[in-house]
Formats: sequence, structure tokens, C-alpha cells
Amino acid sequence: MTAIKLNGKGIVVEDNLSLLKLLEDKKIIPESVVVALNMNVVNQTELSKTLLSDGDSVEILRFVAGG
Amino acid sequence: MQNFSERYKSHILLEEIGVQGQKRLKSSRILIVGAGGLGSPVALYLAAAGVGKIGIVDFDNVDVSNLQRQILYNDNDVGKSKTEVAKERIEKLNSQTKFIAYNERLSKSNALKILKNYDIVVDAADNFQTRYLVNDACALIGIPDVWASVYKFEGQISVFDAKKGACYRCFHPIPPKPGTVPSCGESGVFGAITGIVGSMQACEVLKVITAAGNPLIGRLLYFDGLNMTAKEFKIAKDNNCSLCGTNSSIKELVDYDEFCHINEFSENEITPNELNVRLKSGKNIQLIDICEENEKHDLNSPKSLSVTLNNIGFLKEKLNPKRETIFICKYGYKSIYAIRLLKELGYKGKMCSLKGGTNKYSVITAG
Repeated sequence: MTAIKLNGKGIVVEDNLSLLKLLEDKKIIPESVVVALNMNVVNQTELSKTLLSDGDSVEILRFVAGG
Repeated sequence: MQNFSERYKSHILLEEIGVQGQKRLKSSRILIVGAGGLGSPVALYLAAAGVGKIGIVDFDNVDVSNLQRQILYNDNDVGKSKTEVAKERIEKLNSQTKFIAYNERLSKSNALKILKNYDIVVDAADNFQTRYLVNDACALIGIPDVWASVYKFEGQISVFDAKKGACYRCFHPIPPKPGTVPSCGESGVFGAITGIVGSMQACEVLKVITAAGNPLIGRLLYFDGLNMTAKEFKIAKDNNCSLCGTNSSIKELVDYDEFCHINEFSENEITPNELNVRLKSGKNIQLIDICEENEKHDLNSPKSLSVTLNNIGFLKEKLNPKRETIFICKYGYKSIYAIRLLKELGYKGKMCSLKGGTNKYSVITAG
């Protein structure tokens, strides 16, 4: 198992989980959010290729257009 | 004429600004897209700071519900054109600022013509189509897009300058489908947040003009006003970006409604009157209310089933494909998304969505 931080809270996920799968598990529509891994925004096209490792910090922000 | 050095004394005292920076502000031309919650503080601070020319694009009139956060307007302005009121207010604030009001919707056909008269664009719009349009037009012309957006108590700010770093498409290349992201109108926004975030945008504009400090190029600032914390994220320039990448495919403005899937499934939409006719005819329709948790849209209809978008899958088995299904939601976006999801799951029955949502329906049926 892999221990990560998701929006500041420690959670444990299965090994080699991709960011896209993490979103799917959380029932989050990928286009509706901005995902950052260790404070770097991850391009939407890289979500499926980006695998989580121990100690990673993931932030999921809403992608919004309000003005 | 007012004394320049007296009026801007506090700026001129700043080492990073000085007389030279203040003169740069005077000769700068800034366009603000959207005269709402963000656009208001941006316009006021830029005018106060001595920006020489400010343009504002907005086609809306002032609504009473705007006054909670849109500080350009007051009680007497309700019903008036936003850009006209803004012009009056800004000219009163600083008679040396030349103000241009564009009382129109920014579109593919007018964007380049308007934007090419400015040095920097402030994206204070309230929808994704306009935001992608502003980004593309800025990159094509080669000027920075000072971007921000707000949601409830949160704000996000960045400077998209394709010449020096990431653009909005590098940040988020695939737009969300209508219904998947709530708007301020749906979810609410804390008035002071638009003031803070709009002032941050004004700050970035003034910094870019005067070359003071480090602008938010290639960085996203996320501000959480409820807990008063902020975080900074890096946004890398995407070499494969369709707009500013090495082999870019976008050489001119595109159809942004199509890009953001705005009119998709419009043939499935029915008007409030058409819904009324169906409800009164006693036709055997299936009415599904797409809602958030703890929310229900009352149509005074005895039989509607409330479902959230997250658990919509079970409807594929539950609905009778021989009967028509009508989806309703507050604004008419989630209901369209529900149709899309069920079609993707292979549901074959006839489906409609209430155009404009229950929000519009209640106004029409009450009148």
C-alpha cells in the first residue's frame, strides 16, 4: 500500500495507483478539477500516466470560471 | 490639471515604481473582460493607480443581486448598463483615465479587433467559453492574460503569458462539460472574496506594467478565504499545447461554444411551456430531478425522483425506455449532462431536459 496526502489529509491507496484512477475512485470528473502533485499542476493528458508513490502530496482543486 | 507627483506620491515613493513606473502606468492600456465581482475592484484600483486607458467589455445590466459584491454599482444603478455605470464611476474617480465601454459580448468575431488596442487583458469573465477565447486571443496577439476565478470562499489567480510561460490551455487543455462545474449563481460566492482576488489581479497588472517583483507567470495562487490560507502551484508550459506548443494547431480563434460543448444536446431541450403542457396532459412521463445532496427542485409535480449526478447509473435499469424521461435541475446544465451520461451508458429511451432549469420555470409559471 502507498501512503499519500490528499488535500492535506493522510490516506492509504493501492500501489501504483494513477491520478486518473484516484479521481475515478472518488467519483470526480477529471475535467472539472485541477490536480496538483507535490505542488505542480499535472496536465490533464498526463493523469493516467502519473502513478502515486509513498509520501506524495496530491491537491485536488475545483476548476471554476466564476468572476 | 492635477499635480502628477502629488497625486501619485505614495507610488512614486516606492523604489519598485518611482516616477518612471508611474509614467508607464499613465501610458498603459488595459482591457477588463467582465464588469462583475472581479472586474469591479480591478477597474477601480487600476483607475486609482493612474492607468491611462481602461476598456471594459460586458453586455449585462446591473441586477440587484450583483450589489452584494460588484462594488462599481449602487442601489440607483439597478437595471442600467454595467459598462455605462462603470464609465461614469471611473471617470469620476480619475479624470485622467480614458475609459472605453464595450457594451457587447466578447466573441470570436470582435475579440481580436478589441484586444489588439491593449497591452494587457484582465480575464474577469464568468464562463469557460469567454475564458478560453480571452486566452487564445491574448496568445495570438502576444499580450499577457491576467486571469482569476472565484468559487464560494476560494479564488485562483495566475498570469498566462504564452511568450514567457504557460497559457490557460497549458493549465487546463480539456474544458469541463456543462453541468459538471457549478457556477457562482448556483453555488454562491462570498462578496469580499471577489474583492480580495480582484485586487490581486489589479496588483499583478500593475506589477507587469512596471516590471516590479515577480508576476504569477507559470504559477497558480490558490486562496482559501474561509481558513485564510494560500497555496502556490507551478504550472509548466506544455510543449504539446495546441495553442502555444511547438507544433500548435490553433492559428486563429475557434468556435468556443462548440469547444466547451455548450449547444450539445440542445435538440433534447424543452421549454418551460412545453413541460407544462406535458405535465397537464397527464402523459405518462418520467420526471427526474438532478440535484445536489439535500437539495430538491419543487415543480409542484407529485411524482419526481431526485437523483444526484454521481449515482445516476441505476436509472439505466430503472427507467422505462418506452416512456419519455424529462430531466430537470436548477439551471438546465446538469440535466443535459444526465442525458449525456445515460446515452454513454447505452440507455435508448427518449430523454429531454428542461431548458433554463427550474429557476426559469418558476419565473415563467408564476407570471
